[in-house]
Amino acid sequence: MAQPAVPLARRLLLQRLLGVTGALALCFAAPIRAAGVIKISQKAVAYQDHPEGEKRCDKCVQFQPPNACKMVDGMISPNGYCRLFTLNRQSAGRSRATDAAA
Amino acid sequence: MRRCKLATFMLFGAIAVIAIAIGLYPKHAISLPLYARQTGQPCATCHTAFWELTPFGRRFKLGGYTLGGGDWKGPPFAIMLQPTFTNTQAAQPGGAAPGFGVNNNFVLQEASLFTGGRITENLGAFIQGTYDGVTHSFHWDNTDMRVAKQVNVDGHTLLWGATVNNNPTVQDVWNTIPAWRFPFISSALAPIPTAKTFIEQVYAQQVAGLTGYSFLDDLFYLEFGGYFPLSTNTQRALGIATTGQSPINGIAPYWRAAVEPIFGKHAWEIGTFGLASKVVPMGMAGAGNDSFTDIGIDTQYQYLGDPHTVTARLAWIHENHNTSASQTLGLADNSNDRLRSLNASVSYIYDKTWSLTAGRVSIGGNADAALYGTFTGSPNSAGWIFDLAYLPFNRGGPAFWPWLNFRIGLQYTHWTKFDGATANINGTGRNASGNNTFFAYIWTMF
Repeated sequence: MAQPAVPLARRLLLQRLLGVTGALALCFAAPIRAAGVIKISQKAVAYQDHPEGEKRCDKCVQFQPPNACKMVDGMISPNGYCRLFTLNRQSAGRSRATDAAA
Repeated sequence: MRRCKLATFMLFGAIAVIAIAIGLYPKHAISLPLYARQTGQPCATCHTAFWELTPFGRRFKLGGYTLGGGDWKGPPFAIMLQPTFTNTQAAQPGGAAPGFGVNNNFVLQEASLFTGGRITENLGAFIQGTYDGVTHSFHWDNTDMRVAKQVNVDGHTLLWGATVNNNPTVQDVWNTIPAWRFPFISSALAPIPTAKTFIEQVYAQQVAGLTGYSFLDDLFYLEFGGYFPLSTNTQRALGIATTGQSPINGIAPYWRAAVEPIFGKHAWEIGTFGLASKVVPMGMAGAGNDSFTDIGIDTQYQYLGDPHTVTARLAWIHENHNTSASQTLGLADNSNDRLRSLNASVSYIYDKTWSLTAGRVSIGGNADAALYGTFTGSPNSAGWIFDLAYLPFNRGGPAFWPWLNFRIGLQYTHWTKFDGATANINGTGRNASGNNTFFAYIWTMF
């Protein structure tokens, strides 16, 4: 007797979806020494442990005192610099005040 | 139809005027939507000139689109519009597409809605739905959902994850592979060569795949998984036209390996990728299966300076196509065919604002008139593509919407060979040069 094709295809799809869901669940469940949020490596943003002119990490919006960054992995020096540098509001304000005084 | 073209022309003009006007007064250095809002970064952090990725962009994607840093609290959506103009050297008799003229066509080529980004700490997505302005239809577009984690093992950093996606190579992070290679945008109303290898987007949005990947020490990348076909009903429900498909039979393994050392401002990648499968020719199961194996090698070099950025990309794909079932069905002359595809390009980007790219594309192989349906029987085509683009908001968007982004471009494609010939390519006296294309676009995202 011929089998109806659609239910079989549906069953197969369900099986595959179950497999995919199981695999994703395994990924979530991985317990060993996970580092939490995945940050970007220092190499990928050309991080250096010295400033680039006036630009340095403790003036950047992403810097987290005393020695971390929201975006970049590992220990970050307040005097460091990388390609993501964006001046924070405090430093921008100080810079404007200095310019005005001059 | 005339009203529709007028509307597209007016949209094209209006966007151009607005882009030039507000481009003169850049305010704040944030531009790329969705992920820019999530990370608080300007688009130039992830893209040299979108959509080509920087080392940061590649790692953001491999990390599952989860990295935060921005203060955006709104819903995770972005919109893309592509109003375009296409001119071919010789008119296309019968129209460039149903409902379009023989030449000089304006069209809103694509309008897309994106969602995704960070869902949980380790789960994120890139999901695109598109309105196709040429076929006037909605369909699901590139989709990539992934989980990723990073662990430290004996002083080594291992980033690993899994992706569920709908297009072999869409999950990749280098701009050498078919889903994301140059040209980053091309006309949907210009002739394109008939032949292409299976991994070159033949199965885009027709399949679902699961692959697992690892990135060791920010250097060695390894990925393996498989794709299976979506049922005809599922595809139709998702807006995909299913006529003439040659679906995968079973599961098609996909693999990718690459190494990317970074030396200061220099990043160099070299790798391999591939896809293999049994195929039901034109969905006709009576004669068994064809099969194919696509193996690619690729390399990409990036110099990321300021104000100068240079990228060179090269990918070569070899396809071995067993067409014995097609031959039995009269769909191929040979029982085995081979194709070789080359895509090479070099981009120079000045000040993250002006982009000039030159590229070489070619495909070649043995003749098979029944399989390729070309007048000559040959699949051979080759051409040069030049693209000049202005990205006014890579460094700074307008104050009223800092995530607005434009890529305003002019592109010229010069065919030296098309479907196996330089002259009389289709039996009506049309030359390959007749398909040379001038293409203008205003690629808009917000």
